[in-house]
Amino acid sequence: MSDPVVRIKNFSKSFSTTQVVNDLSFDVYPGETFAFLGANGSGKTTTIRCLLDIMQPTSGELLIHGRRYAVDMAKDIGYMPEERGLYVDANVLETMVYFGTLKGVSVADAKRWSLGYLERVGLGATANQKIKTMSSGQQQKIQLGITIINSPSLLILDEPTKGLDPLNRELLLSSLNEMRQQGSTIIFITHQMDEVEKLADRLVMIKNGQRVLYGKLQDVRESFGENRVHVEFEGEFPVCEQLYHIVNAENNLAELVPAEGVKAPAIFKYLAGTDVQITKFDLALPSLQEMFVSIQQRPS
Amino acid sequence: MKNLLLLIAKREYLKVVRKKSFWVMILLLPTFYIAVSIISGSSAGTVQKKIEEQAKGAKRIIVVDQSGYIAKELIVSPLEAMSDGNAAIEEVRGGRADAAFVYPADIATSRMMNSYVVDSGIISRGRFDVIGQSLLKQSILAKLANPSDAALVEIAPKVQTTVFADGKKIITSIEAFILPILAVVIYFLLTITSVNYMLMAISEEKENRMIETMRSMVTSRQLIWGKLLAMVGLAFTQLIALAAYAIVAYQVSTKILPIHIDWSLVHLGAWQVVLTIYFIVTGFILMAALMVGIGAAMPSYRDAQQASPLFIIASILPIYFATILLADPSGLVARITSYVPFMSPLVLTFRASVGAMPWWEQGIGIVVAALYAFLGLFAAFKLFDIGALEVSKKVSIKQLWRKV
Repeated sequence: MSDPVVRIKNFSKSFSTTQVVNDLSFDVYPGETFAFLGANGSGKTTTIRCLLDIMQPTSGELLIHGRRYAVDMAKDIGYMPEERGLYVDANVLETMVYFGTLKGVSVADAKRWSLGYLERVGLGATANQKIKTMSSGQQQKIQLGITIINSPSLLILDEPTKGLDPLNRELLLSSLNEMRQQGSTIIFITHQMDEVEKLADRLVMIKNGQRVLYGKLQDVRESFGENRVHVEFEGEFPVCEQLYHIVNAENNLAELVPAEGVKAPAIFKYLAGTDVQITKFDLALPSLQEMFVSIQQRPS
Repeated sequence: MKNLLLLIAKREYLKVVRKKSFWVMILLLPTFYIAVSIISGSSAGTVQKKIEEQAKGAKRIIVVDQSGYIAKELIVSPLEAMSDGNAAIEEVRGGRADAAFVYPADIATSRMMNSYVVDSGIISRGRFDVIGQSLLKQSILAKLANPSDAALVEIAPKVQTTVFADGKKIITSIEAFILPILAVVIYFLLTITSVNYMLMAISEEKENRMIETMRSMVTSRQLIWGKLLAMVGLAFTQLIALAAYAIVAYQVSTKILPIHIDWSLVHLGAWQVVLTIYFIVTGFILMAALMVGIGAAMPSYRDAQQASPLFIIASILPIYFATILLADPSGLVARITSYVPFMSPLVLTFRASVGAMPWWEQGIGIVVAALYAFLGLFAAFKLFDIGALEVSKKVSIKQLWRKV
């Protein structure tokens, strides 16, 4: 496996006596779209802020391409924070060019790119307009523009679709897909699990600053302890609490929760030996939404 | 680093100078002060004129001389002599005379005379006082045998003062105050207007939720120094505009008013100028740093605006005891306030510009000014680190203390 683009190793962060992140570790590899999940206040934004040197970590390593972030790396990085805004009294093109130049793009290139981008997102006529005259959806498109004006190889987005209407949300997701196809590594924080299922290759989920899930989407779902078994049957469905708990068994359809440590094949083997006739046997993986809710509701 | 700093400074500078309000304020403020002075002067003149007219319009003024000082030949219409003081008062009370002056027998020791007048409004009740005093003065002068002696008493001679300091003759005319006036004006300009732009610039980043985006591209130091550089540029722009305005005003005023500045008398010592500029610059850094700190510590521009006047007033407080400083720029008050936080820059600037600091005080002043500027910047950077990302509440002293 290639070297990680981002490496978070044994990272902890405390504010006064409050521990916000505790011994967090994960890696993000080149070209990956990586989801960073967790409830509000779980420490996601703090982790990103420490990664980008906006805050100082209490302990641990936060590295980008093997080194601590410094502003000279901004030319290869696009960051859209959760707390984001724009200089509302400035005009659109000037603002985009300003941020482009701060990221090391020449004025001419920043101008050319900005005009092209504005055309692409349907804001071609607004280049010389003041930002405060624009709708919040239009302003978010400009925010995305200033995030990707430098064609970053690493894109970090903190709740990028927050506050967007479905149309603009689709537009943003397709822009991200485009960046992904161009080879950018994307880390995104979101509370929209459908976005994760649609975009993410891997994910990390934290709770109270500690890692609770980490890995490929499919692996994470399979390893989650609350998979369910769906069985279509004829006859009387047998009860076997050692192997499974019956959630529902009506109209020849049973939903089973395997007992701790019991795998689906063991249940199948047991049922095959009984009088019940099995017409369909499915292992139903939990949705990310179900996993998220279940984990966050568990007592700490 | 340098490039990012210049980019930030350029944006901040252009953002302000493109505003019409910036130019309007530069021209409007001095115009406003000049207009207020002219109106106030002219209105005072108008009132004086009105009082004089009322006094001139008097038909009958009674003079009761119990002192024997009043020259009889000076009592001509509308003045009229009378011996009975009570009768004279009754004449005024009855409205048959406009006024009555009673010079008592013991006026030489009591130094008091009485004037009785018919009411003519709140500001002109003393309209005849000058006539009464003048009649006594002229009567005494008329007794002097030599008219030139009388003229000398009447019109005090002009005084031509020659001052020596350390055995050298020094200039005491308006030319000597060119540097102090310029220094104080520049300091005011920087303190009152430019640092306010600093407060706006920091608050703008917070209110627009831009700090986090900016911080991912530039460091806190780059952001603050970039803005500081822009503020210096703005101050220079203001100074150049004001200088042009002042030159025009000077050219116009010398044609109207008897003002003449002999530039050949303006001798500025290089060290005196350098020291003055040093105190202005360190004072500006201190005040700008304070504004950065306040802007970062407060959640909005409005909150920051409410907190900043305290420090601005503290910095210009020496104006309220300017007469003491002018009277004795090396005195105890001047010396103590030279080292009091916030007041220090203005007092040091003034004292350096008038050359009222011995070498050892210059040394202490240089160290103290640098120390205050450094502490100001230190606190500003800490407050920025704590408060920049805090958009809903103020930074507490406890938080700052913990960070320090």
